[in-house]
Amino acid sequence: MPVIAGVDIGNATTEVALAKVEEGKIEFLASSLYQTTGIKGTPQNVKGVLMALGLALEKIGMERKDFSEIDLICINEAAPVIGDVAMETITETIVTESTMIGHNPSTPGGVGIGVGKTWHIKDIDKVPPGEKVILVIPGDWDYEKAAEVINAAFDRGIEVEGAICQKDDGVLIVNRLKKVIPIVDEVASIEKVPLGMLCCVEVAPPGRVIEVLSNPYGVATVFNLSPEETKQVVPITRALIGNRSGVIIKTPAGEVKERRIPAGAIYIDGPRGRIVVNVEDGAEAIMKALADSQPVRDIFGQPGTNVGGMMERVRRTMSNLTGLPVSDVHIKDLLAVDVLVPQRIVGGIAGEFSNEHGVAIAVMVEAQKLPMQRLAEAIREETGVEVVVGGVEAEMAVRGALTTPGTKRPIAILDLGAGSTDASFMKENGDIELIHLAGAGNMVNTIIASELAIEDMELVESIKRYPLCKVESPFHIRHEDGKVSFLDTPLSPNLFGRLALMVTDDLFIPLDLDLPLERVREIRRRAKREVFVTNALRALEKVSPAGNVRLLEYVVLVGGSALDFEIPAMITDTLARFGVVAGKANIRGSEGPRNAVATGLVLAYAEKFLNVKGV
Amino acid sequence: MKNYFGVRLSEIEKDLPCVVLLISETCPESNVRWVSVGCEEEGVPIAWDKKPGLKAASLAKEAAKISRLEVGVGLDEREGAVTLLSMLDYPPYIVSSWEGPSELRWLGQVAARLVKGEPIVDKGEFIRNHAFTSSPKGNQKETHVDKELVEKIVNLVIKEFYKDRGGAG
Repeated sequence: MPVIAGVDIGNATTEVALAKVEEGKIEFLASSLYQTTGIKGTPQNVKGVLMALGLALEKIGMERKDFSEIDLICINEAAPVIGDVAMETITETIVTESTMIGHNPSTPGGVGIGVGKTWHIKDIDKVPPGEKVILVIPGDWDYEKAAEVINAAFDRGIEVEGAICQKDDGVLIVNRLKKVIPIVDEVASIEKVPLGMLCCVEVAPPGRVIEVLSNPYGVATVFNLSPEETKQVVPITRALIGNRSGVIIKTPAGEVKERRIPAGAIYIDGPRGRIVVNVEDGAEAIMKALADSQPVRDIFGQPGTNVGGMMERVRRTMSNLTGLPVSDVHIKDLLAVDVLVPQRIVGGIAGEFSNEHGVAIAVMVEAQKLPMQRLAEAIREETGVEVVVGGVEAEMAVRGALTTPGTKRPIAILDLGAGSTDASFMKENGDIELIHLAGAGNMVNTIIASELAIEDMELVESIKRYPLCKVESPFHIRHEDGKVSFLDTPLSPNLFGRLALMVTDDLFIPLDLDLPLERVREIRRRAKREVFVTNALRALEKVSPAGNVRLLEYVVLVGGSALDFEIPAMITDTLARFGVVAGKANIRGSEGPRNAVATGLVLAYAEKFLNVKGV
Repeated sequence: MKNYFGVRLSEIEKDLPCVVLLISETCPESNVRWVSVGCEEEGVPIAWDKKPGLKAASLAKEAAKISRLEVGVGLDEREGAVTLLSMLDYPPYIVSSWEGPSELRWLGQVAARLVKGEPIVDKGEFIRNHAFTSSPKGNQKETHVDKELVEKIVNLVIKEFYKDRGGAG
């Protein structure tokens, strides 16, 4: 009655299927998973394998260290694939001299448009009557004192048209004035506001956005600009779109430029020779160059760029892992996605951000074989159990996936992982086609992190993994689909009014993001679509008969990302248009999309060596 | 709306929507200004009154009961509390000690944001962004300076100073 453990070491997780074989039948006892320790295929994996085995043993009432209960460990011939991701920002907005304040204070003061010369409030006595001015009010001015001085100025006939204020006092000042003027407040670096320059301040009514300063011709009208000058203000107006308040100051030499950053080139070697594409040309151009170079022999990035550095890092990692010279490690695939990256405007004076363009690029290197025998030996030493390396990963995945109720050959498997997206297709006769593509869960994280400007990658992983909600009161939340849930106990004040991630029904992670829920949701869903739906089609086109996805009948999704709460539905929806039955696997009718390879390993071994038929 | 911030409850029309602030008899009335300012900057009306015999937490609950916006602030000589009508069975949503105008203004902003359903700014961050130069009028201790006493002390110090240096006293 041998007990067999199938162990699948993936990029992110190590999975175990534990089974006993009795009288020609297999009975699965337990499954487990633990995060992969070290890079797949290295002796560092042993720790993760022992943990995963221990967890499975625990589930059948054994001690974690009772490895002697296992008669045989089967590990897979892991796909020798490593992927990585990098971001390259390709535009930036630069303010030379201080010409623009375009931030969004939560409570600007007053309403309307004011045009005049900038004056420091302390020098108001020097302003001649009849002069139109915009007052600059530093943080050490009390709001009552400021209001008093402005009212006195009104009385002297000075036309105070608006104000720029350092503290969050805009409403307080306006409420004490004889006349309503627009005030933009919370301008952190107020000392950088140039004095004696023509300036326009605009504050929109609550619920509206500025209309004059976000329109190039509006700015041209205010400042009497020539057609040439009007062209130059386009980046400013663009940066002000959607704000409730804004300031533009016309300085003699000042300008705001949108600049394209040379982000280097990508060199793709294919049958037609080398195709060179510039990263700043964007994802579409890069993917077109890739399509024109099929089958790709190798890809290089320009040294000194993020993408170039990332490509060399991946190549070196694989070289260290396999002992192959770096020159023999080839990048076989790439996925580029356009992203919007909120970046602090260079030279801005109120901490303004502008949405710049960037490109996220994932690559994948593939070697002939990983040194699994070395790893098998290390596991045997630690456990005292015989270890065999059995079966190609793709074949095992198909075998495991076929245990999903409602499936049959021919069948295609999409393995949605963290580092790469893999597809395999098993024909009626058992022959298998296999493809590995760059771009998977890690790339989704990179895109979300860039577009939401979040550096904490654990938080980004959570944003990818959990649905959003808005905490509308201590006792109720609104889900991202608009439904409302009520709670028995009050939520913490640090959640109040915020967007939050709903980990469980009563566990929330607050998000410190000043964005509408719909925007965050759209960023998350777009990242998943751009990576997984794109790759699902790319991968299936390569493995399907005659490259025609319509000729596939059954597609089963496996792997960690198939557990996602929306990725499988996106792929199912897309493939349904091709008449393909696609859905999340349910390995052995109980495991969901996990454990396909580990299950396949057990089945293959039992069939080959233990005379178990029809598995 | 202009005259509708920091007014006494008795001075506004009954049933006018506003946050209500109740202060204890031990809390100087001048502190009302700073809590009101916190609400005013957010554009939320606030009215106040005095209610003796209660501490901040109870005052906040009483205030929430009166407030048509269902948000109440309570203030005593040491603490401030903000709560909602829906939370009367629980401790106040926010309780915080206060020392100066920044903390009081923060309490006002918290109350306004509870009304508007907007996130509450962290107290430390708020205080960093609102470094006030003035102190609350209510906390200013009136110091009566006895000029004769000051003269006496100064003369004594000068005498001692010259003694140490061997000068003529």
